Amino acid sequence: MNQTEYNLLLFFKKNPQKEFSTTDILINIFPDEYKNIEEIFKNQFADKQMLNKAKRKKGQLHRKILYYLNNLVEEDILKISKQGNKGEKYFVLSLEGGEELIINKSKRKIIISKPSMPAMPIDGYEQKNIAARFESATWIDRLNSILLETTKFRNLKELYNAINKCFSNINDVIGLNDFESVIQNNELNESLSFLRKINSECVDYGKKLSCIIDITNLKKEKTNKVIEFIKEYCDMHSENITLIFDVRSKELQEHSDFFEEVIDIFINSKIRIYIKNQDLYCAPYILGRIGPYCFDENEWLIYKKEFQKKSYGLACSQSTVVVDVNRFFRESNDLKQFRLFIKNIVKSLLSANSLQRRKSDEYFKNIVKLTFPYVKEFFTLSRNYIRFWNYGWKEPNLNQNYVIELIKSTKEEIDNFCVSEETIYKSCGMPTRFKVAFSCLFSGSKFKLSKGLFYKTEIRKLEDLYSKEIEELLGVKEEIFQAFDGGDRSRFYRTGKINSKDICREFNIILKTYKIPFFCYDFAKIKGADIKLTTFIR
Amino acid sequence: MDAWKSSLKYILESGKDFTDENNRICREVLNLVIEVKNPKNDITRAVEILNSFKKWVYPPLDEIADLILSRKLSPTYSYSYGPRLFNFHNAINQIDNFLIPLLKRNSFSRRGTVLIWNPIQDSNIYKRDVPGLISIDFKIRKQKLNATMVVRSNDLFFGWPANLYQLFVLQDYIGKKLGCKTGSLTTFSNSAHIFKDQFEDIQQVTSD
Repeated sequence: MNQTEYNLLLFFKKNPQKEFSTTDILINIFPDEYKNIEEIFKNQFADKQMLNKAKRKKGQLHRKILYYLNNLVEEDILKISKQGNKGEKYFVLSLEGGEELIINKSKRKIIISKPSMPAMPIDGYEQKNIAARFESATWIDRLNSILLETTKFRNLKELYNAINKCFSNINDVIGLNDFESVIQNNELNESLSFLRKINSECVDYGKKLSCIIDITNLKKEKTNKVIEFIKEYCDMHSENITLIFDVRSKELQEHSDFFEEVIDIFINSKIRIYIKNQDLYCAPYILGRIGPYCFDENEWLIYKKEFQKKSYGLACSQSTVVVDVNRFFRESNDLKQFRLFIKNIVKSLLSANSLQRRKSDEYFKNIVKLTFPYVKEFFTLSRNYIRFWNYGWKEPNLNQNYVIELIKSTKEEIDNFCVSEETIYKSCGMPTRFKVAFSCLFSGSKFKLSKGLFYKTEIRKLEDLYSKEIEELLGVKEEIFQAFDGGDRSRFYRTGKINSKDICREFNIILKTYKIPFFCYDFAKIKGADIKLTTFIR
Repeated sequence: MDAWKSSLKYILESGKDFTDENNRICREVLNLVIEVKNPKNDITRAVEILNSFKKWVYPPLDEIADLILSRKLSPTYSYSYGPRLFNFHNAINQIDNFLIPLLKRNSFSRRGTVLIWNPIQDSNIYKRDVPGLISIDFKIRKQKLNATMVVRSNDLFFGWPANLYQLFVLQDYIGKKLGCKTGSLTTFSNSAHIFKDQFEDIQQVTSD
């Protein structure tokens, strides 16, 4: 694609609703050249020769821009809306409301969309920063997160290529299932080289990667290799790649030597370690920029039994809307209004899915190619996400049960709505899936949100896990995990004097005692000092 | 529109109840035939009425139309009518390469039938989603193209308005290609049913 053509398309992409004259377009596409010409026309001292030259130049620019504009008209990307004074042409995008145009030329892809009218029923909330679409520019034409089955790829090169291709189809994270097989079945230098290369790609493309290590599949004779790999991973201090250890408490005990060594590496690097409790939740967890993603456990079990062996992967999440609960209730105290607001979000997600469905073979070309002939199955477990921010967990002066009940009862209504929609679509001859999951939103996201009010859970020693305060705190967290069917994460700030043996025991207690499927230990605040247990507000 | 309301009323009053495989109470009339003589008059009216209920969102008309006209099978659908019509079993374009040439050659033909149901794919007792629409028949009589669809299982409240609209856009597509005026639309529903969960909404529609 020629640079001028590219600039023209970007110009119309920014203004999909507007009509522009040739001169308007010229000014925007060749601003410097146009400015120089205009300066000559305004120059009182410009002689006839200079003026003629400027006129010629202006004519040339007009012809040049018209050449590209006419080409785009011929390609049905633009259309001439009218002819103005002196025959000047006006151009608009050749698109109807709600339609999208995908232009794919010489490795450059531009997607131009014209919002449909009436707009989504969350626009008003977006203007007030109460709701926001995650990655609004690619809200429809990309998935949020996918899971790849690493065991289906014959070698690291194949896996690397697949990840690379999928990057253009997702806007948050790719999960790599059974990543332990990648480490165990390849030479260490090869898997390390893969890790470095893929990390650099993640940085360039701004994507995250979750490598899920299932401890069940850990082979005793390969543990050294895994340890070496983890060392290298921790040395990288990658912000884009997360290792998630998928464990059962029994395995934690069986592999205690391995775990202690791993924990030591994480402590020394002051890196967070992520643990998923397989006893509690068998479906994988993926960690994105904006929060965790997971699959419905019952659906995952069916997938595992019937399809996993054939599958290259699964779509996990399609579109996401984030909600600032605190800001909503500052505007309105009406619970009924809150439920209606969430329903409006779900309706918007339904519209987004409808647009996505009709173009999915174009949008997700790489994924379609990768998963063929099991393309349909790739989407069978996917859900949309609503992520809650500042929803009052442990906010002082707020009844926790009340917040959780509100989320739970709203979720029930939304689930019923989704079932109705699936029934309606099926009756119309469109058997399709529409599911919405609730989850939390991580801090540090780019949305303009209210200041977060949350407790931090700090653990100083093993006994803290039995303290009344922590027990209460984790009790609420357990409830939240139940309400957030799209996943949640508990973050423990470990301070005080520590050693890997103690941490291993603490993990075991959490795995056995609490119904918390996914948690992380954050070692960033270790100072070596014996700090008292505190819970403090960020 | 009147046809829809009368049919709903008829099922409400004369249908027989049973519990289906999804544990939903269903009221059914077998082999119900509905003929819409002038579909152009109010083809979207039933969809508009369904849209006026705020508790659900009915599929947009362009997506309903897409389903029957689009040759591409979206990866997110279990099946779609368009690919079955325009590329049946990856073997035949039943509309452009059979039906239209057939009716062009012999406008009185009685062979203008296209199939949606594909026994190779659908006659499988373990398959979850199979098409409700079985076949569509086209007849040119009195210079008008009339269309009839056979639906094995037809939710008259939610499904029928979309099915009729799909039949309408397909009839329009073929009519234009044949240079022929469009006539009536008929649906033959082997099982025309409504669900108990919607009885109140249906009563609201029929009483308006």
